[in-house]
Amino acid sequence: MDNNIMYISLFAIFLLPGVMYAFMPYLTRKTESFGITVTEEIYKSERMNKIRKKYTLEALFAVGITSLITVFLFFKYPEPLNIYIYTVALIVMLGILFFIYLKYHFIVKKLKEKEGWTAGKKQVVLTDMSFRKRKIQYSNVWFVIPLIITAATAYLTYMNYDLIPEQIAMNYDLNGNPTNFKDKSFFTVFMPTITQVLMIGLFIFINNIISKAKQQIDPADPENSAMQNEIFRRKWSGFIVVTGIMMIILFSVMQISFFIPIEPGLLFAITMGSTLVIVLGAFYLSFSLGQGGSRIITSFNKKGEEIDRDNDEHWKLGQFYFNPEDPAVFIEKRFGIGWTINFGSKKGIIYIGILLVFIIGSLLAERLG
Amino acid sequence: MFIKIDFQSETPIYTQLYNEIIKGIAKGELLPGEALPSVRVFSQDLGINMHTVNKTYGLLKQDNFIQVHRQKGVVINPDGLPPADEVFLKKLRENLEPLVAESIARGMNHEEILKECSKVFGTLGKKGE
Repeated sequence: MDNNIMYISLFAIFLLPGVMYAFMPYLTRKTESFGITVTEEIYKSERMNKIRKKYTLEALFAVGITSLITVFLFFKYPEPLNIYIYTVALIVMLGILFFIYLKYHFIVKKLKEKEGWTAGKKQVVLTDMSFRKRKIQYSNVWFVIPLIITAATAYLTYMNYDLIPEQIAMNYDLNGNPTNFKDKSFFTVFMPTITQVLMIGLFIFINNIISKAKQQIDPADPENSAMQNEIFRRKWSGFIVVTGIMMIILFSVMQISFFIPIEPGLLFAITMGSTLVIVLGAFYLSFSLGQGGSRIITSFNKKGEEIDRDNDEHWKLGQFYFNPEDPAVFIEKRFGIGWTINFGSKKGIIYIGILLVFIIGSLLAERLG
Repeated sequence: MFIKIDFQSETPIYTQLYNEIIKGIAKGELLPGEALPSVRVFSQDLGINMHTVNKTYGLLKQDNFIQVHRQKGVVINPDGLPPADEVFLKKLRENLEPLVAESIARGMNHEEILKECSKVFGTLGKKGE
């Protein structure tokens, strides 16, 4: 039973990002296609329909083949080798998908250059002055909940410190047998607490990105576009709050298992199960809202010939935004769901640096602990 | 309310921004005491230099349309907006003159020019009616 949950979760976590990437052309804004600025008429044209379909079929094929190979290798090789294979296969699959994307990115880019899709259109930038007064974010006060859980767990752990065995199991194999033990120390016992505090910080940071990221409003239909974007941000902000609380509970359960034995198989199932729920939630939000809220149905109210500013030149390969002239640090992704960094801004580079320090630091801490 | 900037226009961006905000005030979309975005947020959303927004805010402040507080940030002048005094009327006539001149040169009469003027009045909505 536990094993089934685990296999299903592992498989879903592998499959869902691939499937989402394969359907990405249907999830982006209607003013972007494969990382290229287009007009909505072009997006809806028969030719673009065909291009999208072809891309999706190729991408799904790639996802299918890599999944089959991975499943085969996963059951052929023993642990922990198969876990490494799984991880590498996931990265390889995303790499292949990126190359398929690139192929279509260049096809659309050439078509646009040849036919000058945006040449005759007036380009403007629209901003809603009262956008930040809208309800675009769940308050950071919500993170008091995981903070209390963290504190309570740490207190419980401290009170039961003597009950914790001299050796703590840190890693388990897929059957729930411990593979790695560490000596009991304050550091190993309170490692989950440190992780929790860092994670709450990270979630607050992400929640702030959601409210601060640059506005992007379609000049052809400003009111609806602003409303879609408001809903989009608010729902993802809610998702971040819920995900944050779930992850914190997960680490609390892990820490409590130091002194109240929980069957490792169950622990692993809980971990994978929650991860699956989070991935499914992201999947559902992506498909129902679309990038920037573009799939939220509104009253049809298109007017005017104006389009958003065509800044393809700053989007390297259609996905990496590099524009030192733009003071914005966080902006909507073009081919994807969510936000990305302006690699041309000094602040953006600093944030990436901090994030890298975070990741490397936590990896080192795990090794040292 | 929405602010629109045309990057291909010959009108400088800080002037466009100035005009858009005055338009918002005229339409009653921006009310006295209402907060405007900070220079940082505004420039990020529009994708323009912070100095440009600063320049516009500086001009609006100089003309008494906005106030810049340290704590409350930038707000539409809550003490009421500057009246159409003699200085303004002189500026208005100066700006109108070339436009009226061109209209006459193109064969429009007094009535036709006034009609166009009324139309502009109409698009500025509430307060303009």
